[in-house]
Amino acid sequence: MSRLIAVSGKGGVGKTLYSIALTKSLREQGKEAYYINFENQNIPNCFKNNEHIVLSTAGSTSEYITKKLGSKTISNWITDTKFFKAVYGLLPGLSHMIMLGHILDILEKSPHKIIILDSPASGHFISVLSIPNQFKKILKLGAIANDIDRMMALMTNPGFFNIKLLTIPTSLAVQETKETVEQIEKLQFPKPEIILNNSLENIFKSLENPPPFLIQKIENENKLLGTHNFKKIIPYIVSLEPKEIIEKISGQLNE
Amino acid sequence: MNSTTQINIFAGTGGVGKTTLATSKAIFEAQQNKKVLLITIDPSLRLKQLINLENNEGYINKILIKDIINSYGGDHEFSALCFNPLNTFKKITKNHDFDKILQDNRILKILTQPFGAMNEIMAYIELSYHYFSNEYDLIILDTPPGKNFVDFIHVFEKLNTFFNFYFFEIFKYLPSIKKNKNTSIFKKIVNSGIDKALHYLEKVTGPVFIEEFINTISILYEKKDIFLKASTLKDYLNNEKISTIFLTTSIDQIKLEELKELLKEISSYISSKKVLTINKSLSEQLESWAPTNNEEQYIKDHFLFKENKIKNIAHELNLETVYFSENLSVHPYDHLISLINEW
Repeated sequence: MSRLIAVSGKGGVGKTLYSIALTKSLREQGKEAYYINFENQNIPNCFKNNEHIVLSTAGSTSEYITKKLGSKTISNWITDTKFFKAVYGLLPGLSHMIMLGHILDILEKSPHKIIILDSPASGHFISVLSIPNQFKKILKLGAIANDIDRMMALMTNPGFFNIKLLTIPTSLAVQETKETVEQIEKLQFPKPEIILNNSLENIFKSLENPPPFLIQKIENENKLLGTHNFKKIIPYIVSLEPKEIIEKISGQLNE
Repeated sequence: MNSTTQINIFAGTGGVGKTTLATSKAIFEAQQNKKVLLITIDPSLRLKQLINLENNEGYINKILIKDIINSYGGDHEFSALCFNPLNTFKKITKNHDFDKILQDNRILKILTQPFGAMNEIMAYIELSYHYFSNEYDLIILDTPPGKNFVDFIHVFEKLNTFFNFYFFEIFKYLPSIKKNKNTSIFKKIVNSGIDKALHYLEKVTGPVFIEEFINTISILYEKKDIFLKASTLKDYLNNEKISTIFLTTSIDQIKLEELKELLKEISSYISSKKVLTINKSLSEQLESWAPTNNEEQYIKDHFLFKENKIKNIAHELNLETVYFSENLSVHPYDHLISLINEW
């Protein structure tokens, strides 16, 4: 079972709801699973303070630096200097890398934890995945460079790191997924699983006289489906409540 | 020549149709004989797929409308650009010292990669470059989803902090570094507590990093006039008569909280005109659907509820609102045609 599961895909395909549902599903199977939103984006209010699901990564920078330097005083001092703030501000990739380092630390410390990482949309996800290598080129020596090697060893191991790309049955989403898979393989990370979200198949089958627009949508869906191999297909959930949608999706994942 | 260039920005959460809408607007305006430039700064580059662009990032392409949509648009054309930060940087350094600079400085090379740290700053520079060229009647910007667009807006502040704060801090130490290039920089910086901080930082980053970083800063500082000129674009972005932000959402999205927050963030930074743009409306199709049993009624109610939820938000936000219907073809260029007709 993978320890770190990153969920990405085109903007708006349902990454957050799926990631929370996956976390719930794994918990229901007895696993110690946690959800982390990589970019501290909005998650549904009903889950915001749920400590059983959401792992907070506040303060990860100073924790990380403290660990590297062996002293909280020095760490605070450095993070307070204007020069350091300048470096940090000019290299936003640095904060992403520190976040990743922190997450991997958590996983190394607790061998039973599984983290579901709700990641940025495709374009920015590739950027995050590219960061460790980029920084390795700049920081050839030093504590961070060593960490990067460790990071990359973990993240290129399919037994440890699993990437799920979520998509929906539209032409632009499917094409973007294809491109993202290629980019991920080029970076030598594990081959992603592709998951189709919002499939209208179930609804369509349940209606005696579906309206023309639904007929058209299901035709489109079938055209796009023919070309791909999906690890899992998740039906469109007829609800407007995030909590209900998450329950239903996690039910699907438990099957 | 006499009228000022207009700016249209399509912003919103992911998957609502920004790229398709931005392109349809470009085509619509081009058909009115306007000189239009369409720029995408979204690193996923969906625009490439939509208008069949060759692998030509960073360069302006002249697009004949009839090449995207068969037998459409007469001889009208518009210009399109897939933003690439490396090419923007090339423009700034005016090519001659470009290759050498990148060879010598790995930090800069990495910062200017697509998705690199300077992505948003370079995107801003690119936009201002074309705006001040006075070549176009209208520049349309297709942006990355939600939060990432906010990073772009923050560039205003970043540019300011960049030159007034960061540089000032770092350049305090530069004269002493430049004098003795061979001696370790740390030995030169003795009058401030920064030498100790750097010493510790060196443990974490390695010694070469600090030197290359300072070198990067000095290279960027040499080009400061370009950055400062770019920051004057802010005045045009804040002018309602020049700039419009089409804050886009779609009926199939339930990210209404994000929409409100995005609007709040945008409004606190930019005072351009704002238009709420609601895409993928199915109201006509829903109205003509007569359910024959309870199941069908349930589904219809669900879709109707979605339509109304967004319409209520529209009232709440008190913005000029425009609606676009969903086109049910599987082909994106059919979407384009129907959107063009609705402008």
